[in-house]
Amino acid sequence: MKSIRKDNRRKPPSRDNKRSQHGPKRDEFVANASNIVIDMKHFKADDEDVERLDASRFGPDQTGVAIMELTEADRHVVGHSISVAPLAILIVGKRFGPNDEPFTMLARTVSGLPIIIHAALRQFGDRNIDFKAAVPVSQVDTAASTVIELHILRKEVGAWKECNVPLHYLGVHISAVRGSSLIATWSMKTWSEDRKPVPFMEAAYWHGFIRVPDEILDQVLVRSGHAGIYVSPKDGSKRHDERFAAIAMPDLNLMEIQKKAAMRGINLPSDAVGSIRPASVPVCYLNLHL
Amino acid sequence: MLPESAFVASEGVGADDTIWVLKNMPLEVGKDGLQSALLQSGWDAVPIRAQGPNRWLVAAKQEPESKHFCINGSYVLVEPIKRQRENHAVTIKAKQVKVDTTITATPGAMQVATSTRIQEVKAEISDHMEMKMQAANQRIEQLSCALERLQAEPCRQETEVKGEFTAIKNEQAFARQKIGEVEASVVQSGQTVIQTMQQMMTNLEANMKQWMVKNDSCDAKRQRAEETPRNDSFSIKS
Repeated sequence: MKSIRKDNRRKPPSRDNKRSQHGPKRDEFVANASNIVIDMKHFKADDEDVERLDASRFGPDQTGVAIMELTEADRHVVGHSISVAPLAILIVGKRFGPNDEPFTMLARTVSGLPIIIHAALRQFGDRNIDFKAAVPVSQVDTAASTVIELHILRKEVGAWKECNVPLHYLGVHISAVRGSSLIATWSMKTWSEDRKPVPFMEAAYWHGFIRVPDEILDQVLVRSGHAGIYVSPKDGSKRHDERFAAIAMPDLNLMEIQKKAAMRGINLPSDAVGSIRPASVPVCYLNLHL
Repeated sequence: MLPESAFVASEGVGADDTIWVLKNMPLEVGKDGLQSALLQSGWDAVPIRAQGPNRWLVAAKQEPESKHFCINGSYVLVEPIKRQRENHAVTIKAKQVKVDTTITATPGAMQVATSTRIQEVKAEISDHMEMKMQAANQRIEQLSCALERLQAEPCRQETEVKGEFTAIKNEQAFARQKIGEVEASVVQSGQTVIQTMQQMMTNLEANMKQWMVKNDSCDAKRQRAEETPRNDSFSIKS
């Protein structure tokens, strides 16, 4: 049992973890003055366009934005204006000075792929140069939603064939998600006990993520542990959603938790009980914002 | 789709649509919000489905004006997805199935083509057989070509050998002729040398004889002179 629990405690496969074990991230891109293309239409000096200035020409009475890394930018003394025209250094890279104020800005790789980089502006002219992203801007209504990590364990499912379509199985056992209630699903895959991707019929469990609107979140969480379905709310950083406290109650089943809470006078919401994987023990999901 | 099923509504993708992936999407923006944001941005694209917490796939016929968007204060990146189909062209061969049909004229002056399953099977078999025959014919053709090549090769080699042999023979005859000429010239030269030598010897012998005859007469005269002493005042008389 101990070994099973130990196995169950392991996190599902994560690419980031693998990368951290085997060196730096593959897609880690460190911007420098030569490997990015910056559209100068993002830079304005009092609503006037600003030209790019070659770093070698940066100096007194020049105008424009010179792109440099911190080491090169530090060679130019900050603090006083050296040009009546707009003049600034755009520092790119991973390091910035203590007085720099890095911001995220838009750029492209030399191959044309759009990227977001961190940069900081150092002013050297009488007129300041500002970054204003010249891209289509939209503001849309949002619906509060939560990402839920989903496991469906084969050994707790009556007929594994019923899980052929996991969303159908989910809808059968969690009525709140029926129809088009789900906002999105991704990475729904079948895995073996030793955490390798395998065909459905050889799989030990389904693993994936669903995004549900917060209106039905409690209804989904409370069904965790039923019919082999285990759910766990996640925040934007892929960690456990701090809005919910998962309190492990290993010696009790779901009904017993509710009874015990009632006996002790704890005002436990009836929908605040579920079961969480990986512990596979009854837990109490307490919505801390209730 | 059964009534109890859960699903995420997704739009169909047109054959001429390009698939794009939107990265760094704000977490709180769902499909409807994304559709609205795309419309506001002036890009006629349709969200297909989420690929992760902050990634969405969209389909569009046209490229966006900008590869960056700002949706609810977050910068969104737009990247095209490289379809595998584009990289690997697939060739589809049309297969023509012959079906034996019986044309029967109906009383209403209309011709109706009829075919039975057996005829279809027969047609399929005949088609299969025809394919086999074609393959066999091709094979036979290849083999006959190879055989012709095999037959032609020794003839060509024989001709080449004959030619080479004739050339060698000619060269040999030429060499023999040359050797004869050289021999004849050597013999002639030798005879000339011998004749010249003989002539020289003859001349030499004649000269020698003549010289010896001359010498003999001189010796006789000298002896006679020695026998009569001279009256020399300075000679020592013994």
